[in-house]
Formats: sequence, structure tokens, C-alpha cells
Amino acid sequence: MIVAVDVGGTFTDVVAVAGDRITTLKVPTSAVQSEAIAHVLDDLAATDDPVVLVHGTTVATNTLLERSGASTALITDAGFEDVIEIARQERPSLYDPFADRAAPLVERNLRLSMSSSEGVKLPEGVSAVAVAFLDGHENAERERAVRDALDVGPEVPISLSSEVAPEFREFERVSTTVLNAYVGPKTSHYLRQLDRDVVGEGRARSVSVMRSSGGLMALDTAARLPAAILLSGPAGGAVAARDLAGALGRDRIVSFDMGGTSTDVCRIEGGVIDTSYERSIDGYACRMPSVAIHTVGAGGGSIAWIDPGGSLRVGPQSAGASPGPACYRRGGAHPTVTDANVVLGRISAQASFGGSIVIDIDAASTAIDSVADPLGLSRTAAALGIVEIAEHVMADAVRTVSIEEGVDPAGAWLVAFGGAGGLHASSIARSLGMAGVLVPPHAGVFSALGLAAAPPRADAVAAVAIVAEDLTEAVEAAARLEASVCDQLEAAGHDVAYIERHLDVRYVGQAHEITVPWLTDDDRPDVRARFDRAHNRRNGFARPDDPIEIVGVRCVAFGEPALSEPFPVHEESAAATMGTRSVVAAAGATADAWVCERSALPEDRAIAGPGVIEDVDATTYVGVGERARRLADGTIEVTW
Amino acid sequence: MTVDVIALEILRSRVARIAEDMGIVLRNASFSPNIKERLDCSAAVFTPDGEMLAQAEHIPVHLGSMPASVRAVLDRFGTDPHPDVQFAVNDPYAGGTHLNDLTLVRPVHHDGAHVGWVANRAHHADVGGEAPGSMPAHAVRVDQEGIVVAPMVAVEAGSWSPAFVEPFLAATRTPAERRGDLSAQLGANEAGAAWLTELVSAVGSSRFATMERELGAYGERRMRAAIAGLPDGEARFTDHMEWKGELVPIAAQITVDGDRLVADLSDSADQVSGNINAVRAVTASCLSYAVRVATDPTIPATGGAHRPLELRTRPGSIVDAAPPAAVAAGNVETSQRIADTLLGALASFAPDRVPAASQGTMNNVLVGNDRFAYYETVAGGQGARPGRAGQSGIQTGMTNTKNTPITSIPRHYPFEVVRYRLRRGSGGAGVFSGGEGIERELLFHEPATLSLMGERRLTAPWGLGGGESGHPGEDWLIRASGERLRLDAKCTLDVESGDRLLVMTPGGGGWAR
Repeated sequence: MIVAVDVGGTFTDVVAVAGDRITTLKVPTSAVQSEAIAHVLDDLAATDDPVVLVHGTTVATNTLLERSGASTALITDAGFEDVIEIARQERPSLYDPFADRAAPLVERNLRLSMSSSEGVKLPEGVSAVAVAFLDGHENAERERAVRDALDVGPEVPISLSSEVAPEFREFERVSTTVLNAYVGPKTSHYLRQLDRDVVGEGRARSVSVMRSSGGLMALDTAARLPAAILLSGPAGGAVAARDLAGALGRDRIVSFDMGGTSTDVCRIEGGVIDTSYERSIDGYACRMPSVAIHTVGAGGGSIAWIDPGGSLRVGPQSAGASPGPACYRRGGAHPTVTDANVVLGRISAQASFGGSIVIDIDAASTAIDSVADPLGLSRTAAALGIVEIAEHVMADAVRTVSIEEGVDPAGAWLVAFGGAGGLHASSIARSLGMAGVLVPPHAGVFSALGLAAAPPRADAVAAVAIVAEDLTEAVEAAARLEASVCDQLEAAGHDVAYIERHLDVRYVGQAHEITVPWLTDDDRPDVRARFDRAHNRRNGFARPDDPIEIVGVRCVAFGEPALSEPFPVHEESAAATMGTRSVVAAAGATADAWVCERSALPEDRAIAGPGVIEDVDATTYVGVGERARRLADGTIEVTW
Repeated sequence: MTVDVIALEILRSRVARIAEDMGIVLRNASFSPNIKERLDCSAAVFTPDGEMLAQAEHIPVHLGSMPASVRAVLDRFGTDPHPDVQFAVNDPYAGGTHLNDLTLVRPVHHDGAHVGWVANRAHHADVGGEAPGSMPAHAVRVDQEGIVVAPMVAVEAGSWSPAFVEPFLAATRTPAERRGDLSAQLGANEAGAAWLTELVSAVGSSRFATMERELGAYGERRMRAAIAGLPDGEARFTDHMEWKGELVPIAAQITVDGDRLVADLSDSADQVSGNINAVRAVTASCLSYAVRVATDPTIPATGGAHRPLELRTRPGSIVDAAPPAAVAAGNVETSQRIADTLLGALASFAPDRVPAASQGTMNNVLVGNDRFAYYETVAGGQGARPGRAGQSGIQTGMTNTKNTPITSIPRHYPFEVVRYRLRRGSGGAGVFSGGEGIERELLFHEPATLSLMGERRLTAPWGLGGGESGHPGEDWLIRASGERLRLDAKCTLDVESGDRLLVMTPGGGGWAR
């Protein structure tokens, strides 16, 4: 049995797959994530089938967001101690003098320099060490020598820039190494505890965790390289969306994961998830490969407000899960997107979101009136407006991930999941000229499903500086990297299924590179052509006659995913009936909408909106002028 | 016709998005680190009569000065532009700021009617002139600083007009890089025009025109609400530029009357025979910047938002230069002091928002010879904020450009960085101390020409409420022989292999005693 556990801020989503049987579960997230996992496994353990546990965790991320990481020392070159503070010199807000740059994670007195060969004495209380010399990307020896010379116990982990992120830009490399050191002790403590509770106690045969790049890594690797799991959470959704698109034969999709406070979107084309090699996490630069998810501050809990110019705005402030939307009656009074959906009849007053929530329509109405009245709008006009503005913000996110890559979202499919994704997806997709919307089964726990489908993965990178025509230096670097990524997978007990290689390429004189696939040692002309094409697509021009420069070599090894079959088909529900409910479909127009469970939706024909499809943990709204049908795998397809 | 508040909010956001996306295209397509990495560029959308609807700005000095470029094109070519052309301008006296900033302006048509303009501006690392980087310290006339492009047709039917592009590329020391950046600028405007046409088509021309007016009114309401939050009254403040060892006063009187604000800088000094003269468009940017800092940082960058602000200057003064004076440092240095002066005056209206003086300079370093041109600005200390210390080693005021990675410099240029750290102890003392400046040291491996353009070497960034001043900046040349020379912060000189330049940037002022 494969058990995928995706820990989020509010809920922990669980998917258990045994043969063609699938069980899903949503439980409140507990303070100690490993305890909840142990309980879940105990509840699920009905068979003797050994459990393979895959895990998306927020432990590393929360350590950073809460600034509760280790007291970290940084050892670097004399004269460059403050690179970590100066960063790239820019300030976060042009006009707000109170907007602070993310505070350095290494205190000034813990920035230590090596001006000569004498040893470094660590101050008292240091619980993690980062070693990052300016030339760490091309000279691992110096950093290793420092590690060997440091007199610390095994409880003080030492992160080397040459091992964590050997890329040439010094600030990003130092920052990533420091992040790794900073979140290290807490993350590895958690992972060891998880190993004891789960494998040690015989609850599972193996455990692996999701890395930001969309593959799984072994616990001990994650404990050494926690910076690689800082974006563990959202990566699962992109992997699941990629697999769904593959199974349904849709080549171009954008995944759309709408939660309570924010929405994650990611572009996927031809089975390839856009990957980013430079991210900022809460203001901290992190050069680790990650699924290129773009996040905007619009979700079900986003708060509507009136700005000083008299305009209606939505977000980025959010009521989140606590106190939550006004209609939850948990102390929230501000009008939110969820309240607007309740007023419009798109979320049922009987909805419970798979849990303990009771919807109070009167509370939602009162909250919406608090912005409707000052603007002279009717309650439903204001609610429609809130939905429309939130959808506009989310559509912008879809547009951004496309424009950044030089492509038009028109014609692509929007794969919507998360509890609220299906409520807004069709409107967003229509506004962008997209082909249609797909709402997969288990939409409420879809990211967890992605964990089960993710392959074991190891990433490695080396900085090079190649202007010459021949790729000998890159071939040598790649051989080293391949050995390293294969070792990593094999040490974790996985066979290597295949290896991908990439080169970071730019025109000589440029300061930015594009990562292109590299297939064989001697295909430099093809690398060149691929780079020119990629440059032309993303940047609008190519210079096939200009010299190019290779600045990075990347290798990725993949194993076989735990769940290699397509997702199990959605099970038929007994109560496959249709009802009706009054919804506000457009300005001033109330209409009778059909309401049904997913399994009641016809497979052989599409039915016209307005309509609402209610899953246990997710709602899909089909607007006027749209039609919906159920595909063989249970996916809802909405077109127009 | 009335426009409902929701449609207006969405239109506001869509127009802003067009400007942002133009900025993405410009950045992605640009060739040089100046635009791609340092983000020394902006993009904007305008009404047919040249009022700004939205701007994606990455550095504040472009904020109030982009409309001047469109205005100059309107003045020169009239209100009925040909649909298939783009105009170029960098003339500081006709819509520009300093010669490096080249603005490309394109009319946008829908169904044969002129519905607006899109424009973008990019800093070109070299546009000719008497020193690499086009900011020669000795210049007294603008034509010594590079090629001057008065508003002219630069693109016809999608192709560069030879009358513009040939002299421009002939003037620069780095034509290949310039060609790449020009292509990016052209492409960004083409994309912006297509998006704006699409938007007008979706909304309908006459409804769009109505909504444009509403957007202007919205920006105006935001600014008026912000000013109304300040107490009525008058305040004066004087600060100084440094020129050949003398102090050159910049004086501002700010009057707040209800929801209007007047900034009168007429008492500032006459323009000088040198390059620290700012054109009026730069001063307008500084006013927009300072008011946002002192009131509401989220006021949208629209023409309407500027209506409640009245700027008074005296032609021929250092804040409203008259031709043919040189202006390169007006944009990058005097702009910082104008902002300081305005903020100094605004501090008495908004004592809880205005910080002590930040470093007040961009510490421009330009290195080059006939093979390369390198330009960077070095960050410094932020002034302490009411209730909070200033940040160290950070861009402040009218710029926000990134640094160039130390490890990438030796790959591209014949010099290296041998020190880059905070200048510990350089922030002004106070209950909350000013941020610290930076020490940056370059070691040259080949003869080159070095130009410096810096400020706050004689004066210091002031404290507020009794806080002490930050440390002034210093610049040193350490010859290969070991000889140390204190440099004038505005100089052009030759360096040899083995020489080192040490720039120590100013700290911010402290807050309260």
C-alpha cells in the first residue's frame, strides 16, 4: 500500500492506494507532523500489505517562516563577510521606507573570515555551520579542508557551498548554503523522529519526502540537504497534474491549485513541468531546482476591502483558516471570496468541506453588505464583483507563467484542484481563451496524489565556464555528476530508471542563462540549436551567429515512482442523484442550477450550466454558456 | 455613461498588467546586464493626450519623467501620429533625463483611431561621448556626454529607420550590445501595443475612453486622500550638492493646503558649468517619489495622481536646467539630493514616516576602454526610520539597481573585486542608528579609463530629531606602487594594471538622540 501524506498549513491530506482501491482523508494538521502520520497509518493499517510512505512536509519551510532555525555561523573569505546581508543591494519596496529586506540568517558576530590558514574558532552556542568561499563553485577543496579542521560534534551539521549549490553567483550560493544550514538541525531532527515512529515502529517499510523539484528523496539525503525540500508542499500538485494530462492526452496545461490564502499555478507542456533554478522563499534566495510554481495572494479566504480611492479590492490580506471567512462563524467578520460564493449560491449552505465546518449564510451576507453598502451596490452585485476581481488576479497568475516563457495560455487546459479551484477555473480559463477546464477526481487532495506518483529523484549541478566549441569540460563534469546522482538513488534502494542532463547556456556577454536539454556528449550543434530556439521563444530573438557560453552542467537521475499505474478510477457513489438550487449566474440574474455529485454527471454527453458539482472536499461551478461532462477516469471536463 | 466600480478596478489592473508585461518582455529580451540584471528600465501606458495610465517602474527616477517623453513626441509630431511608427528620444531638453536613458514611444491604434501610447525606457551602458559609459566628469555641454536624440521617427513598419539607428550605433562603444537592447525595446512596445489594442477591442473604444478618465480621477482621489492626511502648513528645507569643493544649495518650500501640495524649488542655485544639472522631468520624479514615501507608498503611478502636486522651479536653475548644460549626474546624483531636500521638508508634515537621510548618492563607477564599458552603482546606508534602525548596504532614493555578481566580473572584464563588505560603524548614531555604507575595492588588470560620480563626500547624510549624521563617503586610488591618493568623487582618470580603487559609501543618518 502506498500512503501519501501532504502536510499543509491547516489540513493534512492523505491518500492511500492499495491496488485499485483508493482512500482519501483530510485531518487537521498537528503541531508535531510525525504524530499525525503515525495515527493515520495506524487507522489505515487494515492489511498486512507493507506501507510505502511518501511525504510532503512543511517542517523546513516553517522553520524558515517562523525564523526558528539554528544559530548559524558562516565561514567565508575575508573582505566578503557581509555578502549575506548586502544581498543584491536592492530594496523590496520602491516607496515604502519601512519595508525591510529579509533579515540575514547569520548574525554579524557569527560571520567568520578565513584570512590565513589558521583554524577558525567557533563561538559558543553555534548549532549549524555554513562554509561558502567566493570560489566555492570551482574549488571544493578549500571548503572541505575547513570542514575537516572544524572541531564540532555530529550534532552541528556543516553545509558547504560546493556541495549544496555549486553555482557561480556568490550571493545566491551563500544564501542557499546558509538556508541549508539554518533549517538543518530542526529538519533532520524531525526526519529522524519520523523514521523512528514510522519505520522503526514497523508502520511502514520505507519513507521518502518530496523535494521542491518534484521528485522523492530519502530521509537521510533530505536531512543533509534540507534546502531541497523548502518547496516540498506545492510540488505534488504539479506532478499529479502532469500525469493527469498525460493520461488524458492533453499536451499543454496549466495547473491551478487554489487554497485558502493563495493560489499556485504552474505551466506544463509536453509532459515537462517548467522548472526554476532560482527562487526566493520569504525573501531568501534559494538556488535549488524547483517546480516553477507561481503563487498569488488570492484564495478562498482573501478579504475584500475598499481602498482610499473608493475602489473595491480583494486580497492580498486573507482571513486564512483562522479566523476564516465570516460564514464559518469562527470569529471572522471580513467579507471573503468564500463568503461571496456562499451569497451567490455557488457554495452550498450545507457544505462542510469534508469536516467540521458549518456555513452561516446570514454571516456571509452581513459581511458582503459591509462593502456593498458604502459602494452603493446590491449584495449580489458586490459578491459578483468580489469573485470577478479575485478571478482576475488569478488569471493574471496564469498569464504570468505563460508570458515569462514567451507563450500564450490560449488553447491550453486549466487543471483545477484544491477545494475551491473548480469554483473559479472556468471563468479564468475563458477569459484567457483557454481550451477548457479539467477538475480531477480527489481534487481536494490532489497534491497528495502527486506524491504517490512522483519518481525518486536526485539533482546535481556544476559550474563551468566554457566558451570553446568542444564540450570536453562539460562531459567530464557530467560524468562526475552522473556518478553522484546514481549513487544517491542506489543508496536509497532505487534502481536508476533514466538520467537527464541539461546545460545552462547564454550568449557571450549576457548575464542570464537558459537551461536546455543535453542529449549526447557530441551534440553541441544540437545544444546550440535548442538554445537559439529556446531563446527565441522566451525572449523574442535569437542570434545564431553569436558565440555562446556554457556556465552550468546539470544532471538528474530518476527512479520508478511508487505508483506507476494511472490513478485509480473514481468509485461510483450510491447517491447519484441530481437536485437544483438557485444561484446568481450574472449581474442581477438568478437561475436554477442543477446540483449533483461527481458520479451523477453524465459521461456520454455534456450538460449546460449553470450547475454545481459537489465532491466531499471540492466544488466545481459550471457557468452560463459552459457545459460539463465526466470523463472515463472521473475527471470533470468543462468547455464552452 | 457611468462606469461601475468593479469594471474600473479590473480595467485598472489590466492596464497595469500591460505595463508589467511589457517590462517582462523588455527584461527577457534585453542583452545587457544593465537591463536584464540591474533592471534599469521602465514601461508605461498612456492616454492619447499623453496622460500616464500605468507604469511598471523599477527605479523611481523614471516615475515622473516618462510622461515627458510622450509629451515631447506629441509636441513635435502632433496628436494624429501615423499608426506604424515608433519614436525615439533621449534629449534631456525634449523629453529625456540623461543621454543613457533612451525612450521608445509607440502610438496605439484601434479601428483606425488613436487610442493611446505605449513607451519604454532603458539605460544604455554607453551612448558615445567623451568617456566610456557616457558620463564624463568634465563635461559642461550635453553633447560631450554622447549622442543626442531629439524626438524622431526610429521605427517604420517594424524596421529600424537608418536615420536613427546608424548614427546611434556609430556613436556607441558597444554597438552589438546596443543593437540587442534596442531590439528588446522595440519588441516590448510591439507587445504592449497588441495587448492594449486587445483590451480596447474587448471594452469598446468609447467605453474605454470613459474609463481612462475614470482611472485618472481614481489616481487623483488616491493622491488627494494621501495629502489630506498631512497637516496644513509650510516647511522649508535646504540641502547641498558638492561641486569643485563648493556647496551648491537646493532649497525647497512645501505647502500643504487641504488636499493640494505645492513644492517650490525656485530658490535653488543656478545651474553650474558641469554635469550635475537636473532637468525638470527629473525633479518631477523626485517630487512623486518623496510624496509617496511620506504618505502612501501604494498610490498608483498614473497621471491623475500627479494632478494634486504642483512643482515650481526656475528655468536655468540646478533643478530645471536649460540647454546646452551637461546633465549626466543630474539624473543619478542631483536627483538623490532633490529627494533628500523634499523629504527634509516633508519630515515636519509626516514625522512618523520620513526617515533620516539615506546615503544620498549612487556612487557611480564607470570603467572602460575601447574594448569594454562597465557601469555600476554602489549601495549605502539607509537613514534610520522613526522607531527602527536604517538598513545597511541597500539602494535608497531614486535608484534600486542590483549589483553585478563578484564572480562574474573577471569573466567579462579585466578587473576583479577584492573587497565587498559593510563599512562597519559608518551609520549615524541615534536612538535608532543609520544603516551602514559599503566598502568595495576593485583591482585592475589592464589599463582603463575610470570615471567616478559620487556625492556626500563633503556633506553628510543628516540625522533627524537629534540623531547624528552618517559618515560621508570616501574614494581612494591605491597605485600598484602602494601610493594612496584620495580622489575627488567626480573625476575621470586613467588607471594602470595593478592599481586599486576603494569606494567607501556613506552611512545613513541616525534618528533621535
